Amino acid sequence: MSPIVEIEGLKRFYNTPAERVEVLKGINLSIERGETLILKGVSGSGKTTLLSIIAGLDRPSEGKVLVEGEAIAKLPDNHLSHFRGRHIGMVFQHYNLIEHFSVKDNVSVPLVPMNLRYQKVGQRVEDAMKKANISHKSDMLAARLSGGEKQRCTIARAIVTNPEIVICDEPTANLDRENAIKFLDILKNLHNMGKTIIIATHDSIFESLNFSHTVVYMSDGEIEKSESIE
Amino acid sequence: MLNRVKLHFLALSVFGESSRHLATVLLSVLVIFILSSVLFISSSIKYTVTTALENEADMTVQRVRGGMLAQVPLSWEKDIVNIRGIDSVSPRVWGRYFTKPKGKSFLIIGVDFLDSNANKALSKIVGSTDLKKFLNAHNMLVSAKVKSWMKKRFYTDSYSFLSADGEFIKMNIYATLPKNSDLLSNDVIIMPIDDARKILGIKEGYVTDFVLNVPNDAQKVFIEDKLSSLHFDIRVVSKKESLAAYDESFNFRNGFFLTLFMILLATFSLILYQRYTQSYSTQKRQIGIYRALGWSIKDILTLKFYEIVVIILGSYVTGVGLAYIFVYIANAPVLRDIFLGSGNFSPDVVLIPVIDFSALSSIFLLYAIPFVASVLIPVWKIAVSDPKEAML
Repeated sequence: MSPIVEIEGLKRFYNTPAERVEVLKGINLSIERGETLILKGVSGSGKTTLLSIIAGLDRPSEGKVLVEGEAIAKLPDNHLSHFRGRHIGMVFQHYNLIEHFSVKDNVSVPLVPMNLRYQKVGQRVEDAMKKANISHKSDMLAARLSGGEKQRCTIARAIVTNPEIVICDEPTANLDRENAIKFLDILKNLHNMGKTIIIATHDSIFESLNFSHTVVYMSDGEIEKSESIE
Repeated sequence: MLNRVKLHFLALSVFGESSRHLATVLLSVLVIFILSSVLFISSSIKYTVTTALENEADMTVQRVRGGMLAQVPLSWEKDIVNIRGIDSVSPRVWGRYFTKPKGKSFLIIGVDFLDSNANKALSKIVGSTDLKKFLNAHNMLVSAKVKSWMKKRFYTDSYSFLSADGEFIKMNIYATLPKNSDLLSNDVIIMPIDDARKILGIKEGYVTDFVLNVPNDAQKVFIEDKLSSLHFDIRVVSKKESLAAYDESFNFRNGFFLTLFMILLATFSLILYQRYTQSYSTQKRQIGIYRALGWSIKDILTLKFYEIVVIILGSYVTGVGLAYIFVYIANAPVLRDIFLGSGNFSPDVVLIPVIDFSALSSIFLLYAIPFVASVLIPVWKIAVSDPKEAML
């Protein structure tokens, strides 16, 4: 079976008037379907940029990025947006919820462009909220949720489209230890559901993950080493 | 096409952020209200004037000497009647009477009540007046405004005019002219022709002008030419020209208001643009979230477009509705005086509901296009930017 994400010679640089800043300096990476991959590294090591490129939120300057066999960097906006909506779920560090929407409305955001029937959307939102353990707050405004609840709402939103890949950027950065541990439990559930999970973090709590995963260490825009943990 | 899910989202966008939209809606309602009120007033006045002038004679024959209007000899009547195609020629005696002390003026119209043609035209104005009783004494019919002005100066039953010969002529106030003719007759006094002649100093055998009708429209130009060639000092004014003169006087005000409102619209667009640019960071974040979660640029622009359409239609209907109530139910206080003037006797007119759909559509377009542009341009700018940046 071919890998779900294939990256070859990925470079990302930004041209400033003074110099060319290289954020990623030739990344080669392959992620298997159902694999959990943890990107570790200090701030500025290029983790978030790599995640953004895999999610199709940013485009590479050089190199090849295939997600589900699709060269996403070459897709026009319409197709890329729909591809992202159907195949990738995003969990952000700052949650990125729409504060004046209720939990269920926030969770339904990725389903809106899909032209699904109202009942179908309701059913999917309900399922996603159950899996993320946030159904009891479905009518509460996002602004009134605690940090942990916001994170669970974000997870429900990330899995509502039933994507193959779930990308998490510093998911525990704003959580206390208790909520961070709960998040790991949810991750385990996602792993058991066969989702491919990619996490960028520098939180040591992920060392306590009790299921097989790969840790990739990044430094200064390059992959330093990677290790598989069973 | 909007399905139920998208409609739900549209409602969330519009009503979920009602505080953000409230100022925009209020400003829009105000602009539409002012524009529509002006439009309703001008349409109503134009309609009233046009309807009133429809009952006027087709042509007026005057005399011009040395470039000034002069008294017309009654003998001209014979020459006019001799032209084929002319119907119902009536001599008129009228003139403006300036009161002492200064400030007001009446339009005195002398009517030959025994002349059947004059009677026909007047019957619409004087209505049920008993002519026999009216002609028995020095009686006059005055407009409601004139009557009220006289009453304030203790002339409750009669008024003494200082004639051209320097003697006072006392005229009894017999009745008030009906209100529906008030727009054009707010300062009018109608009296028997002989009394008007004495007051205005119009010599026996002379009149101010003649009015006549031409039943066949196709002959009007030809008859106007014929009349013009009767005497070297004759001046013929057609009804079309009278209408144009009234039109011009109201168009002047309309033009003034239009200029004012174009400035108002430009300011409105600028405020909107600034407002939506100011809320840039909030919008930027929200649009960035949508983009990251799989919405295309088109999906976002479509949602925002429908959001604007709801706001525009809501504000438009409210603004027009309020203007209708203000003009046609409350009779447009303040604004009516600007249009009709309050210098002499301001007309106490009731504005008849007239709806000019083409002008209403123009207002809608003038308002909607800058609105859509002011909102969609900033949204489009955000939507095409990097969604990752948008969420920072």
